[in-house]
Amino acid sequence: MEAPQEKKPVFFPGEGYWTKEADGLHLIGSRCSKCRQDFFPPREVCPKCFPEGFEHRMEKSKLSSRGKLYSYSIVQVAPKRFLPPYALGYVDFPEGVRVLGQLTTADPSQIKVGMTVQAELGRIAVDEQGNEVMSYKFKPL
Amino acid sequence: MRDVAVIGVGMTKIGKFPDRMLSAMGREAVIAALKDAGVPPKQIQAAYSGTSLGGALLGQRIFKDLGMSGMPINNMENACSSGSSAMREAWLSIASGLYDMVIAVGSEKLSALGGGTLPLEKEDLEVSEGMVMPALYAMRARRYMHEFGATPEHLAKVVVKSRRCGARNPHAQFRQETTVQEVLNSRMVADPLTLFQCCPMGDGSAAAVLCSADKARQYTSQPILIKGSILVSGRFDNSFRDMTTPEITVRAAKQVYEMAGIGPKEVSLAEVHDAFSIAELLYYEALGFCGRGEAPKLLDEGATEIGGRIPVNPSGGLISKGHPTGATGLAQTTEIVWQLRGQAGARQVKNAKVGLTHCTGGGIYGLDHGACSIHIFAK
Repeated sequence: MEAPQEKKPVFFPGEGYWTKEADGLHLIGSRCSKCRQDFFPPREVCPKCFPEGFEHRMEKSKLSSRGKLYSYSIVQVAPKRFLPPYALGYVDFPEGVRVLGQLTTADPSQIKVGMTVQAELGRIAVDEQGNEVMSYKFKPL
Repeated sequence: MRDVAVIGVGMTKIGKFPDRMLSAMGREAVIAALKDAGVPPKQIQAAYSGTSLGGALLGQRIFKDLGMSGMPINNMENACSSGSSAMREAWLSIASGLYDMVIAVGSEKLSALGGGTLPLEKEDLEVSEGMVMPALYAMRARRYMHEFGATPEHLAKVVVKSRRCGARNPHAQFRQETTVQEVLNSRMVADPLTLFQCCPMGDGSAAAVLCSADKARQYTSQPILIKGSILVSGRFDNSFRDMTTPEITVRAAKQVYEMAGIGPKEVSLAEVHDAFSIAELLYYEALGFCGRGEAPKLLDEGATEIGGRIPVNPSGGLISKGHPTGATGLAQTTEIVWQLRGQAGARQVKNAKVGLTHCTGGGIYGLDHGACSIHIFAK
C-alpha cells in the first residue's frame, strides 16, 4: 500500500501578502508615490498615474487589520475546490481599499452590512491535490 | 462615418442541445439571417463571430461548410459581451467605409460545461478567493436593498415579468409563467438570489446581416438603422466603487445617447442584460428609464411590461429567453429588429420606433464588468 501523501497547506496569494501583528492580520499592498492611493494586492505601476506618465513609483504599504463590510452574500453553489456554504464579502479598509474575501462564518444572523470585520488567516478552499488553501478571511466583530 | 442598417436577422431556439454541434447552431442562425436579408452569401465581404467559451476559430468552423471561406473572419471574445462586440465591429467595418455588406454571429454551447456556475478565469484574484457570478450580483442586490429599501419581492417580480414574456416567445428557453412565491421558494444560489433569479445555462446562436444604409433598400423595404453603437471596457478601481450604479453601463449609455441624438425618453423598448434579477433593476436606472432608487417603483407601476411606458426585455431577457453568453448580443439585436418591423408575434410592443440593446459582462477583479456594448436601432 502506498503511503498517503502528506498534505501541506497552500497560501494564497502567498505568505508575502500579509503580516501578523499583535492587533491581528494586516494585508500588505502598495502605495503610489505620486497620488498616494493605496492598492491591494501590491502592483508594479499605479493605474491612475501610469496613463499620465512614468514619474511615479510604488512603495510598500500596510492596510489596517479592520475594515467595514460593504456587502456580502452566502454562496451555496461554487466550483469544486470551494466549500459551500460560505460567506463572501467586500471589506472597505480605512486606507481607501476594498478587498473581497470569505468571512469566517456563514451564519446570516452574525453578518450585517456596515459591520466591522477583522482580517485573519483561514481555510478558503481545498485544492485538487487535497491541500488546504489558506488565505485572508474576515471575522465579524 | 456613414449610416449602417440591419437588413436580416435570425436565431436558433435557445435551450439545452447537448447533441448539436456549436458550429451547426451557428450555421442555422447564419442561414436564417441571410435568407431573411435576401442576400446571396457570396456578397458577404467579412464575418464577425462572437463566442466566450466556444473555442478557437469558431467563425471558420461555422462559415467553411457554407462555402463562405476566404473572406476575413474575425473571432471575438469579450465574455458575455462577445456577440455584442462582434456586432459593434461589424457596424464599424461598414460605417468606416471598409465594407458594404458583412455578417455578425454569436454562438455558445454552455450545456457542454455540465451544471454549476459559469466558469471564470482562474488567474483572477477574486475568482481564487471564491467569487462566482451569482455572488457578485447578490452583493449588488444586498447593497441596493440596504440603500434603497428594495425587497426580495421586488427581485422576484422581475422574474415573474420575465417569464410572462418568455411564455410568449417561441425562441425562449423558459416558457412557463411563475409566481413571486415560486421564485422566492426556489433553491438559494447566493442569497438573496434564488435559482429562478439566475439566467439558465443554455445553448444557441443568433446572427445579423449589416449593410450600408444607402444600399439597404435594394434588399428590404424595412431596413433597421443603427443609430448608435458603443463598446467600452470597465475602469479599474480598487477603492470604494458604488456597486448599485454600474459605472460601465452609465458611461456607455451616455455615449450611445449622444451618438444617436436620442434620449432615454424616446426609447420605445429595450433588451437589457438581466443576467440576474437585480441587474434589470440597476439597468433601468443606469439607462435613464428612471431615477436613482426608483427602479422598484418603475417595476411596480408596470412601466416595463410589454404594454407599459418603456417595455424592457419583452423577449424574456437573459433570465427566460436564455443566455448562451456569446450569442446574447445578437439575440438581443434579432429581437429588437423583429419588434421594430412588427414581427414579434404575441410579445409585440405597439408602436415600436426606437429599440435599445444593452449587453455587459465578464467577472473580473477591479472592474464593474469587463465589457459593455450598447446599440440603438430605429426604423
